[in-house]
Amino acid sequence: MSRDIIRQQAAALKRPGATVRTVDDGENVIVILETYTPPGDNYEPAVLDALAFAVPAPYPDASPDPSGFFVLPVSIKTSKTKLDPASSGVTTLLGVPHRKFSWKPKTFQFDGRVDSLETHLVTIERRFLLGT
Amino acid sequence: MMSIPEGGAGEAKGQDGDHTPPGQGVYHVNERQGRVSARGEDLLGEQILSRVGLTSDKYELWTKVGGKADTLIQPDEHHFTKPGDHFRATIRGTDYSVGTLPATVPT
Repeated sequence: MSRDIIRQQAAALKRPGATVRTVDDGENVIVILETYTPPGDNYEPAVLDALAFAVPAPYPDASPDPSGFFVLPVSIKTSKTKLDPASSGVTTLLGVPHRKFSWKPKTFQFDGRVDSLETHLVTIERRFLLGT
Repeated sequence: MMSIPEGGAGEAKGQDGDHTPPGQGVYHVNERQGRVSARGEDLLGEQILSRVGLTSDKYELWTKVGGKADTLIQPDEHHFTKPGDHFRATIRGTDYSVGTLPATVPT
């Protein structure tokens, strides 16, 4: 049932010109947006092949992966410096190398009674506005 | 679990499922709906959030352009809000500078 909630909320994340799919991965459901355009024009390429994040199956009793999110291509660079994005590295998701942006909720935590995967995605988008 | 309602100005249903009263319209913050005068209202950022059941101490409010969060609206900042407007609310206090990477997705 919780996986159904994840799939239902994930379907609502669809952006124009992009698709959303979910993949079961052990105790997680991986939500994948293909393609994805980060806000702010701060990264190259401007349109990413994919943006993905993990959601534990017990969601919404459990929060989406609080350690970060994944993008393709792994070669994403900041537009200004042409360097790898800060606090990111290459790691494997679903057997494929991805670039993972790491983060940590500090002041406030995701609350499944109030927040949704839309909240999680918008908070991801905040990261891209930093341009670092 | 929250519903993901659809609807435009003046015709959409509110959070409680009721039809929007005459003279009012609906704006969105993420997938949540708030009501505003059909002519629009000059609201503070915190009011835009509170009308959808969110608080400015936990959430930052952003305008939405092209489906993406765009410009930050401060809690004490005036913003003329009209039916059909869309905003984004992000969770405050996320540390984006963390650099530790697990080898794989935690299971």
